[in-house]
Amino acid sequence: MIENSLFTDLIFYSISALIISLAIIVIFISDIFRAAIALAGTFLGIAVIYFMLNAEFIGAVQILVYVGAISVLMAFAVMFLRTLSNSATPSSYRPFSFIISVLVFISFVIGIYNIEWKTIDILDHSNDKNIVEALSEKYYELGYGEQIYISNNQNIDSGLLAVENKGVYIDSTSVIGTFLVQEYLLAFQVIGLVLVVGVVGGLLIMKEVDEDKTL
Amino acid sequence: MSNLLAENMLWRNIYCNVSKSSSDCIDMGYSFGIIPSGFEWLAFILSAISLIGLVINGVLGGVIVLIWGERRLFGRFQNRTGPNRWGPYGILTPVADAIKTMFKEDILPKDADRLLYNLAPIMVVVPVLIVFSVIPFGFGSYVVDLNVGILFVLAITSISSLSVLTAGWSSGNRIAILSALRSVALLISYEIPMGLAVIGVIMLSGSLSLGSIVESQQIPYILVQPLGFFVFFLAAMAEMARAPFDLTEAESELAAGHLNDYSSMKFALFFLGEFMAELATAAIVTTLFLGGWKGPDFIPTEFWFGAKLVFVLFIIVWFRMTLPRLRVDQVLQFAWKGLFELTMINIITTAIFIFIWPEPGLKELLILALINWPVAIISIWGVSKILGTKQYENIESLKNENAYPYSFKTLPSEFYHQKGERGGD
Amino acid sequence: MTLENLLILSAALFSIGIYGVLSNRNFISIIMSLELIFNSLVIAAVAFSRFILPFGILDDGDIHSSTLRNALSGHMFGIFIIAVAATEAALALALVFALSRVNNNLNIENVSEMRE
Repeated sequence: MIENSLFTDLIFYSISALIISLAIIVIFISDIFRAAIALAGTFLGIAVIYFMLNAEFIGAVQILVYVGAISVLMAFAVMFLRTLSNSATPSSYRPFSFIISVLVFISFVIGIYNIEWKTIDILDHSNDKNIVEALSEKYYELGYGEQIYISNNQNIDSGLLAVENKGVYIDSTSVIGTFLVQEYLLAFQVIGLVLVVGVVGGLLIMKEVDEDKTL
Repeated sequence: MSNLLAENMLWRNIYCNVSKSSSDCIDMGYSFGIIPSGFEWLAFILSAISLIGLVINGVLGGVIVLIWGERRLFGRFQNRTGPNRWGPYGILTPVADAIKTMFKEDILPKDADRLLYNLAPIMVVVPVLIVFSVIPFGFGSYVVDLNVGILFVLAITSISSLSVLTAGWSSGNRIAILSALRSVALLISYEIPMGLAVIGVIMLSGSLSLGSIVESQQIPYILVQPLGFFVFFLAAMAEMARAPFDLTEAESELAAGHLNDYSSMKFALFFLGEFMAELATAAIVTTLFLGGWKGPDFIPTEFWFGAKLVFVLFIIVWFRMTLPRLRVDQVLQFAWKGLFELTMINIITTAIFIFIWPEPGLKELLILALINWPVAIISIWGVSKILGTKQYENIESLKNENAYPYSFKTLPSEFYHQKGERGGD
Repeated sequence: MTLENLLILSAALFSIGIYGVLSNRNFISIIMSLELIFNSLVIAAVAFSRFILPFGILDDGDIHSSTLRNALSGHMFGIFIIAVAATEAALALALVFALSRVNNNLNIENVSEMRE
């Protein structure tokens, strides 16, 4: 379990700065192959964020799929089309799209700071001892055993149960495993179908068009 | 923190010798330390750095021994002595090699993309180093026991294809790009059987964490999962681009491929990455299939791990010396038509077994071994019959243009006719 | 590292992606920007599942096992988004190859010829 501290905050802010600057490089750089490499860097940074959020499975999948497959696919495409890769001229709508994206960002920020999120932090500081205890009991009953870790420690000053390090930690890997074959079974199957259709469709689109035969 | 100290012995030994008055350490009987209380964060950072330094230096030392041992073994396999001048039995030869490479001229090709050209060697070395952070070297001695351990290893090693691509592209020469394309086709193809071969082990142990996989092995999984071992071993050989799968840098065809513009320290870094990958592969094979650090109690667990590691490395070197290089189409066919089917057979037999006995004990595992070995032998024989040399008896079929995918013939015509572009002459 | 920080990061990536999609004409650049947008969505989903419990818990203290397990449904959303994004990238790059074969160009505006 990764606990919130000054150290993790420091790592979080530096990784976020790295992600955003690399993303800006992806958008603005003219050499497309460099953009693909910067994109891979962005994906890696995001994977680090997932690991910090205790989502190890998603982090590993992120590296496997995005860095190991999608970035390579992009770089591969750039290599094959390299005589064409810088052939497109920049759009004339740049100022317009800049305004749009800034407006989107501002509206997001306003929304985020105006909603009162009922996060676990608030739950912890509500001094509601029952909820924390009930949570830990319930998790134990669910059979996750020692993998459940609800951080709580006794605050000596007030004599109340206060949670200093916020968050409920569940070993995400086993829960995701049961989710995939129980609650989300249909969605899992559909995603498999979508992937198969994607592969077949991609091959079909890529195929050389034969003049004699129609499809 | 106390949880970490109780489980990770390597971490405990370092941290408790650095921090003076951590209450957890005093409970465990450590009383000496340098950094006083109130500076726990400093102790934490210092011990983390020294732990990382310990593992990295251990790996580098292992690489030096590996280079020496491999060259000595090559000598033996080729009926000659091998390096024997520097130090006893030539053990200082890798050091001499390193000094020689360091003093060579560092060349930057005219057409190279300077930034990426310098970045590529680092991208090769760093992922392989990260792999060592999840491997349990002994009972309680590891850097971190991730709950997605083996998936993390597969994910991190998949970055290597990107770095090969970067190296090939940034050198700005045609041969390097060709080699990079070939190599990425190979790496991506072999990632799939490699990932699927692990699934049998994961089903038996019920965990992705490498520590739990080792602890769940009542008998080494090579006895229970012969097909999984076979496929994983071959796919891992291909992943680290070793003979018989070393198309990436086939000297006689591609003049060392994406490496051929690199010199001096950058070349040395590529070399280092290759040998570290060999070491990492051996460590993963040991952990997954040979029982990791497990063994009888009379010697420490780290030595068991080391002994198994050396054995696997010997097999890898033997393999490399014995078999000739495959052609590109043969390599890709082997992955997609051979190894893929074998992993599927393995997964299905293991799944049926797990369906009958959800938590197998020693007796059930032995039954599975009895079932799996004949299945493995029959299916490998069948696949080799199908994929064997027979289909090439008709030599006319080789003249077909499509017989060699990814060869010069099938590349787009822009590849040859261009002037002034990067990647040109 | 609070929920707000993570959402700001996600919003920033999202708007960078929007800018990239709107201002580029190069097909491959547009696909890259789309991947950035997908990633920002996954970040938001995982952040919510880390910081917010299903609200059945907050209501009356009566906790059901199913709601508790649903604390991780954000991860499932993330996995499905990643799978769809991977399919999308593969298909879109196949389209890039097909279109570049026809137009000998990567400019997205040439695709409008398909309209007629």
